[in-house]
Amino acid sequence: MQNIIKASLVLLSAAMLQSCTKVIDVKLRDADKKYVVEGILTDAPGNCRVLLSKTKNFSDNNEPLGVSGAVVSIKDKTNGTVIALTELTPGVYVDASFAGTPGHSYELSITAGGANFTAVSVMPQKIKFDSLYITKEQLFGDERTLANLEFIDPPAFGNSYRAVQYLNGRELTNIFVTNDDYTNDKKNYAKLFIFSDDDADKAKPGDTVTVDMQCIDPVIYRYWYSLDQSATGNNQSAAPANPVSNITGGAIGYFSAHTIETKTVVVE
Amino acid sequence: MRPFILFITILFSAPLLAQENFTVSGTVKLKSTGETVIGATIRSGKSGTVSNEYGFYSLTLPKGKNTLEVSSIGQETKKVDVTLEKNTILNISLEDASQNLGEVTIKSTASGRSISGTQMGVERLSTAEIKNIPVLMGERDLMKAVQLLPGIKSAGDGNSGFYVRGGATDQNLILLDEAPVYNASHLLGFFSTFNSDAIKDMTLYKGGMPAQYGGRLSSVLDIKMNDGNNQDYSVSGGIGLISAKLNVEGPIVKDKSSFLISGRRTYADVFLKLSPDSTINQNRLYFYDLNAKLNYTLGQKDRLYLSGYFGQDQLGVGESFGLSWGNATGTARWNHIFNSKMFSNTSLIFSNYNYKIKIRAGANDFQIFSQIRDWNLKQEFQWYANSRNSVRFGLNSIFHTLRPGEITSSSTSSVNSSALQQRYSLENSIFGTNTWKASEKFSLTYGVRLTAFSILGKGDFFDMNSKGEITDTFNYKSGEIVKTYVNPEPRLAASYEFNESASVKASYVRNVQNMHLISNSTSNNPTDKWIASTNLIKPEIADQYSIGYYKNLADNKYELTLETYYKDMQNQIDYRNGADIFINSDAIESQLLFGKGRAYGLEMQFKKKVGKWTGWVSYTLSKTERKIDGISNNEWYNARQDRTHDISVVSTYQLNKKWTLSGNWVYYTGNAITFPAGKYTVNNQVVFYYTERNGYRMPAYHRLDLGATCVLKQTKKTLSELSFSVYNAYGRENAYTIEFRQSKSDPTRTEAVQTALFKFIPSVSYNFKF
Repeated sequence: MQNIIKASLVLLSAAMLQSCTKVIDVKLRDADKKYVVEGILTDAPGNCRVLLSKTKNFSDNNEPLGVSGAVVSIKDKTNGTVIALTELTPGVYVDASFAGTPGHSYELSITAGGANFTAVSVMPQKIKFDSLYITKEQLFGDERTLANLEFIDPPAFGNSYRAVQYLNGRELTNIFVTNDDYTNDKKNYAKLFIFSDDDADKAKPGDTVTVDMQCIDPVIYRYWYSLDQSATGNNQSAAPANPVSNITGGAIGYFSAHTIETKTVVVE
Repeated sequence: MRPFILFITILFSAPLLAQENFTVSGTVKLKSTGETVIGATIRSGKSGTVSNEYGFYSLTLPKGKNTLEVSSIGQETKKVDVTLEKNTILNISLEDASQNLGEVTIKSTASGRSISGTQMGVERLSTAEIKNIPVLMGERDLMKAVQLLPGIKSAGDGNSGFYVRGGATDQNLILLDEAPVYNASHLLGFFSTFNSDAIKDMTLYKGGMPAQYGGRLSSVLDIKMNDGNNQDYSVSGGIGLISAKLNVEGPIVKDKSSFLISGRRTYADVFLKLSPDSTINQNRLYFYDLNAKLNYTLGQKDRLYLSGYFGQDQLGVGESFGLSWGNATGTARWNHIFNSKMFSNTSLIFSNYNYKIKIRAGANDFQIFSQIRDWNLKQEFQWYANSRNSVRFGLNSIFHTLRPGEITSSSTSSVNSSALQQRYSLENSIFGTNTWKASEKFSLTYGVRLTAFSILGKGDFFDMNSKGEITDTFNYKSGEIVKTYVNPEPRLAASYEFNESASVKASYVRNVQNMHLISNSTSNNPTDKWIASTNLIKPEIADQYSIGYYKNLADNKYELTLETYYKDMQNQIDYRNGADIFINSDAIESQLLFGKGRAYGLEMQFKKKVGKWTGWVSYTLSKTERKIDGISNNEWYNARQDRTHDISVVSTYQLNKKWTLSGNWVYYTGNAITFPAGKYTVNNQVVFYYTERNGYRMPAYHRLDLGATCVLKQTKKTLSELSFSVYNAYGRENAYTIEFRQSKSDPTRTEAVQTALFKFIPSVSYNFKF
């Protein structure tokens, strides 16, 4: 009996939970190219920009394929003002001074290559970003330094939030979105979990962590939520799909009018 | 109503027999343990029957001297002479064929498919039969073994779910002593909830479901627990790499009553605790389960049974995260023999499934709880009307309570305590079916099951537009009926015997399903959502047509089975693209889409049943598709479980008295899967563009498992043996997932990355019985 148990132990430690990962070659069919819109308007000037590009084949390089020569404008539907954006670099359309007002509804219009795309987004009321601090957490046998946000959700339902984290000024690509479905009218503690194994994404003592807190339109919450669930290529979803978009006219992507507040903390 | 009229007309137009007949009836048991024998064949001349699920048989024979030949798999065939001057009770005991020590078993140990009888699309396995099949980590598992049979497909590594004839994993009705089991997996699917030590018999119907079963579209997996040895006390058990189990049974009063208790627990967590690393030794990962049964014979005519199952899984990461889930079932049964022709069973059944998630992160401290609970009353009569007709009829009433999600949180948490509305429903059905032996060669089973599913208040129900936005809300009071769906389910089957060794059978069945599992992950999770039909979620309906050819060869040493089927499915459910699966709303329908499905295929099996070398080869050629408005441009697309080819080879070789060798090899076409059609950049990140659902395939899956069993010591009553097995012997890296990401070596490119779970897993286990 003793020997069996001993043998079992040896075999178990050798064999259990071994999983192996390798890069494989997958032949993917090319599809018709789609326009991709990434439109942003915030309550602070200098953030108004629209990126227009096209989808690429999987085997192509990752450089975005900017679309030049489009006519891009944003209309404040609440007061009727129309701002025409100018092309800064190929596919990047900006306005240096335009800032939105919470509560106003904005309409993005794009004309490119004979196609018209529009999208509407309402800039939500701004919720105060109360504090940003760092905690250390045990995640699967690894100590992680995580950023935490605190804010107080207002009494009415319907608030959505997004956080964008920067480590020493470099934007991390993790998608953090939450809404008040479960946390309405409460003090919210949002922990920005990072599961990445990449050491460059792990905060170390002395690093500067900056977080933008955005109050986003619920439609845009759906966009980020579904992008994260089903289009980043590394999820367990049985049905990967394009995220739920607010762009009409056949393009993919989003147009978000949101508020923004930034805080910075140094990791101790 | 028409089927009923037809039913009654045919039943009573059966020719009256001129000859004087009497009925012999009784129970078939095992001599050694007193266990009743399910499906034993009792023949006398050209008449014959099989014992029912409680071992009862009834056979009407001519007056005078008759010889009964009683046979069952693994038992010595017994001949009994009986002189019939009146209706006679005759209980029969069978002796274990392998009791003849020192003799290598050459008797049939594998259950044969019945050439006669109208039942088709059925697979039976006993614990003895799967004993030598090599398994993952030494854990014998009926649910894994059944996936080696034609038409039944494994959901993949690390998943105990299975697909039957193109259906989804929730379309299998899994019954343990008649109690529905809502989540039949342990450890996130690596093991099934069924401890094979406690199981007597497992029958899987993939087509031609008898009328007494209903509620799921694809299959019925009917598992019966052992009753417990009423002759002698016996203790058996096993110690494997990751789990240990113990089974104790014995008589309470010899010949009259017995008990059985069987328990199992994994101890992977014990190894975690040995780790000096505090982040690992605080993790929890284990399951346990307990089967218990009592039975009591009250005289010749009545028998009572009480059986229960309780299982629990625990998964946790320190204090911060905990997930536990488990099933509990209980069955109280009363068998009553009214007379030699009328058998009755009454069951009161309870079944429960729940999960609980505990989260503690800083000031956030809350629990999520969800539950599904059934109370179920079943009354069934079996009437052996005459030598040509046997009738089953009865009723079944289930009260379902669903608690979709409840959150309890501490006052410091940012999460609010809340509860989704509980959902109540009453599923009533009546059924009647007759098997009519029209001639020596031709038999017909015709019947119907009528289901009325009533959705009950209280609660809010909704109307929605095509985008899933609520347009109207209806409020119902407690006990008020929201809607009742009434569905007749015809069940027809016919067989024609060409001769003693060949037959052809055909069947048509309709099945209706009112409890639906929605999931959008590639593997089954304990937290997948069970939902009942509502005013918007219509009952799923499947019509299945099948035809089969059965042939026994070389004096029943070999058997060949060919079956083909076509299945049409209505009201299939899927999540919308981008659905919020954790939505905090009673209107779950807002996240769903509905459509239809079709599946067809050909199944073949060639089996060698007798000799030192036994086994089978099975092959399935199939197609299964869905068409759902809002997915893949509303066109037909391959369901995820669509696999063109599926092959299993299972073989056992008895080398000598001590050693038995075994091996199985499986090969199947990869699942249909969605891959990107392109990529683009948002948020400074490369993400993927999709055009069609399930337009690609995972790489083909294949695997060889090897096993060897060594009998250390065997006497008439005791046994000790060692089992060795190697899972995935040639180390094939079968894709578990394929992910797409920015290349690590060249960030300007994207790449596909495959993860495989198990590569070459050896194991050893020790089993004993005394």
